[in-house]
Amino acid sequence: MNRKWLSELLMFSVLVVAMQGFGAAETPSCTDKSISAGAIRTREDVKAFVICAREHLEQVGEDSAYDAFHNDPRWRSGPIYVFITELLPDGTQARSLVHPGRPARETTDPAMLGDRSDAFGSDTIAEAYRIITTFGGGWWHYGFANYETGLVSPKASYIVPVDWNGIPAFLGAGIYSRDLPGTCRSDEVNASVLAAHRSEDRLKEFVHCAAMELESMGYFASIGLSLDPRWRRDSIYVFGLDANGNTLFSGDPYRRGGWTSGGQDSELISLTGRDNLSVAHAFGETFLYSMSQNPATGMQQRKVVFVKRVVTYGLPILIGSGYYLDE
Amino acid sequence: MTTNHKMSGCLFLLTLMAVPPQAFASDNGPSCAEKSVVASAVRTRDDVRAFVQCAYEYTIEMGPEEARRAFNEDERWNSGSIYVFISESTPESDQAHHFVFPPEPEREGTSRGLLIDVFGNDYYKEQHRITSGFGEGWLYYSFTNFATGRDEPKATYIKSIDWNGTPAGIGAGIYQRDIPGSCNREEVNASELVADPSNRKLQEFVRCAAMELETMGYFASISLTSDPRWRQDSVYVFGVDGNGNTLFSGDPYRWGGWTLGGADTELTSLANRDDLSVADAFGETFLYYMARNPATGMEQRKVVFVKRVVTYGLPILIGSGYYLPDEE
Repeated sequence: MNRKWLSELLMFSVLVVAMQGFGAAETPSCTDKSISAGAIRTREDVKAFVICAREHLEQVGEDSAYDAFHNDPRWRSGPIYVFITELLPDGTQARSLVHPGRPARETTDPAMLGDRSDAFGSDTIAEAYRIITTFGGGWWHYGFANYETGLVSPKASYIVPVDWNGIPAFLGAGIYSRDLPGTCRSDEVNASVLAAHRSEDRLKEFVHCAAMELESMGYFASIGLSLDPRWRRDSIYVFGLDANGNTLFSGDPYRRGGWTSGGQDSELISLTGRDNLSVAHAFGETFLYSMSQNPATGMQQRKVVFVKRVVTYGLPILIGSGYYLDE
Repeated sequence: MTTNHKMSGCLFLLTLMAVPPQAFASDNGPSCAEKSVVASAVRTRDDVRAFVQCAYEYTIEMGPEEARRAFNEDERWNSGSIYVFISESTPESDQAHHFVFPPEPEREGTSRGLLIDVFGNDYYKEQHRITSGFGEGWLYYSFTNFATGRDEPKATYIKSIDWNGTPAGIGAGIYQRDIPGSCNREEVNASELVADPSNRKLQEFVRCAAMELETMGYFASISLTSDPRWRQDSVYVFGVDGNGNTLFSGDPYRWGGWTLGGADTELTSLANRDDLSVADAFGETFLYYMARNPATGMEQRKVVFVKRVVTYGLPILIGSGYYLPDEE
């Protein structure tokens, strides 16, 4: 090691310690919040996961952490994994030190990894370097291959500085969300997928994406949201209500549809007499639970509904959908 | 504890009743081993659900007596406005008993009577409906925030549980300051962010500003740039269109006004990276860059939160940020 290398190492060590201070007060430790890879749902979860991964590395050392990050389901599940990359401002030079998603990337020759620029137009490694060296860590947004789908998709990763066998590096993990303005793909988020895999997470994605259509297109979205097979399949459909609870549109054949016609028999008014309309407006996003007539069976069944408040062209609208539990 | 056969049979039946049939068979949340969070670290509704799952598992494992002690006394379970409560689930909503209620332990073992909130909700009727019909789920109502002393919207996750042979609900809830029903001027404002800058407060600040913009469109830009609620010292709000033009900004160094536009926007100053597209694609983003602090005139490190909204058909990136102190 020459003198320059030593001084860089010293500077980085100061950075690793000092930068843990930025935002540290509001970032819970792994003792306070802990999550395994398979349970990650949100960006907040990713942040907690990364804090835990760094603590694990500090506790057990590089060799044991390397093994755990690759093989232990606590640290690796589907598209969620811990990565560690050499901290250099040039993607052609920075080595991928830990990459359980695609271990072949852990090469000693970074040039083999090719151009590490993304669709947002710059070297992603240089961007990570900037965030780490100037801000001590934070959110890194970029496009990257989702190994589960094979598609390059927007990835939000949380990154922090670490020392890896004496090499200045950064550790991170990221999440691919399917309900962002830049995602919401019709082949990933649709009524058929929700009908086949009924869950609160899928339902939320479905409504989030429908809400984006409504926000962008206003009145004209109601036609597609009521009729397009993307939004209507078997017992799954989308509905929209105005502030008074009138149905503005609905894919439910039992209910009135059409933006201008309105209808008193709306989704939320039928819920046990409580003022769910005001609740949904006040809370912005709500899960509601009701008995409702399933259009696929004609039977009254338990239904889980997710409703989101949007404002489209100045008009507050509750857009929602749901799935039946007893099908 | 000594119980006769008849009592054991009743207990068993009640236990079965407390376990809902096919509650959310397709959507069980993570176990406490997979996700755990202590009271002081609860930030989101997802955290609340994980917190309740852990409290549920703790009660099952340790028994009611220890659970009641821990939920009242241990910081792991009780911090500020976040605490675990357990209440009787009964269709007689005016007779439901508190079993665990850390903010007012003297109420434990008593009935509060009918609890009707500002939304007209009968709380215990709703708790019974969710726990008996669905096993677990979200309850939305208004309730006293014991940290502020005010009646505020509360989102609670509740789960059916057997409490000494009585069907009950175990739950915890969160008061959020950036939902449409809150966003109070005296709680979320530029002065608060200046006094105590954090990512959490910044996120609340921008989300509340975004609601103004979504509702009022063009007319919001006037108050968002000049009202002291949105502008104080180095903290201000800005709005950028899909091409990166500044539509409005409370920064005295930049162009303001909806119709003027300006090439010198917040987001184009970022390190040659197309952060405009990043912010547009991700919906909500934390960004980090160097910017001129209007309070000092100096270039300083800035943490920015940007949210994409669509107002009157026009996608707009609305954001704000706080400056970090210079590095020593």
